[in-house]
Amino acid sequence: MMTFPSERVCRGAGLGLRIPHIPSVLQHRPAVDWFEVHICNFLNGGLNRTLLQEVARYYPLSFHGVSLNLGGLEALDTGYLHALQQAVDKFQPALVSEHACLTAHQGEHFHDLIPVPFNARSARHMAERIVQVQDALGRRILIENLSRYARYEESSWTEAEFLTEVCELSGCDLLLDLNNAYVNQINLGESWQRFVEGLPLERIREVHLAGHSLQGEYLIDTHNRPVCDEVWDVYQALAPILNGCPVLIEWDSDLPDFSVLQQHCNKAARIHDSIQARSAGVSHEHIAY
Amino acid sequence: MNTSHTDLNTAISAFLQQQQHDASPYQHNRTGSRSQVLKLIYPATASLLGETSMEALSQVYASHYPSRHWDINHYGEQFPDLLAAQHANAHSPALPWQAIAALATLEYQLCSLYYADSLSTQQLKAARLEDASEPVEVDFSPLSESMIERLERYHPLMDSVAAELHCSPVWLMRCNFRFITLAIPDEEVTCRSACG
Repeated sequence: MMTFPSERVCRGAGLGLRIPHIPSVLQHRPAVDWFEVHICNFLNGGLNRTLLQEVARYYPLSFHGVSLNLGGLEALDTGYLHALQQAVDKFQPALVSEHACLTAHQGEHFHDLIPVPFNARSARHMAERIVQVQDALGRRILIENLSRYARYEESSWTEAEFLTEVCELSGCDLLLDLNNAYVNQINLGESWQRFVEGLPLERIREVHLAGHSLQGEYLIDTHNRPVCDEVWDVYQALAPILNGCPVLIEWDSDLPDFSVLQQHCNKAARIHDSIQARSAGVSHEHIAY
Repeated sequence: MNTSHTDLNTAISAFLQQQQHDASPYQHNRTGSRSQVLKLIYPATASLLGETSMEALSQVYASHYPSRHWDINHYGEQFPDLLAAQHANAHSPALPWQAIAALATLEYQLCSLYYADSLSTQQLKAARLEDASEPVEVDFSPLSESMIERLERYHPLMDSVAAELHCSPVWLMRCNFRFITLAIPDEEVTCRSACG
């Protein structure tokens, strides 16, 4: 029978765990509070799944999905949902999250996160599908805001209004990706500050920090670089109002050595912990003393 | 699709249509994610082809083969066919395309070891035991030694699994895929006796 860490809660700063780093993590068991995995890569019973079982023995996990197609129009993929349900039952991850987007349309899977129109009709549709997912999993999920590169003419709401309505209708929570919010500010002129102010803060359960790249006129959410200074500043500014939300460093391609990721994770942990200490009315000096 | 979704369908279809131009990040991501995953599934093949050829071939494949499955790890099954077809392409560099296609086929199968739902460690153990009791015939004739070395180098996850099963990565691949061969390398003989 599988055994898990005694505490399965994601607290502090975590890292996105990518497959090439798994052997090293299992060998050295680095000091990381928790790991988030792209669960789509572990839903079947292959060797990856065996390795994930090993990781789960030592670290709390968060499952992050990219293929539920919550905003799509075709029926939810029951095979995918069933596999996800089995994985959630088996591993009991601390968090389960998806993106507020569509990933497939008319039979084609994009393997990209495509936005939906921000309006009442679309919010109702997405919320209905989230309810189906939550019913199947027997738990609440988190949905994540996107990086966007274009707008729908049919959008009559802001992204914050859309996400708030989806949360209200479905009872789901939020994963706030600060890089995405920053990218949208640069690409579309949508202030990250106004975006965050429009969200129901009490529903934010996880924060993502990631790197982006400049391609042509757009910042693209490539997750192949360090978090930029501006996004660190956004996190620093928001951390006090995020109620100790766990924070994650995402780095998905052009992967550096694991130790580099750990340095970034440690930086996030320092910000997170200093805010926590301050909000508890205890300064670092007091702790040291 | 529910008929009440007509308005949403119209909006989404129009949005996607508008993004089908070269300058659109969505169009770029759409083919980019597919060609990128080919490099992840076929790293040894990519190393043989070199960056320029692999990029060109993966772009061709990505632009002609849309993805029909939510799991991107299943993408690219026909890529070895595209490689084999280069043999008859006058514009392609003179390379051993049939052997490269064989290597790519093996890499795709190897990828399915990572992700396949039909395979568990228990089954691998069973396969090992079964093979250990019978002569293993492995055919490496399409693959050069250098290609096998690349397989080991570019599929490091096999090392973890092999360590668990007390076998060498290459041996594990050979016995699982049951290739027919004329000669069993010394390394494998050693491993087989160690595995009992």
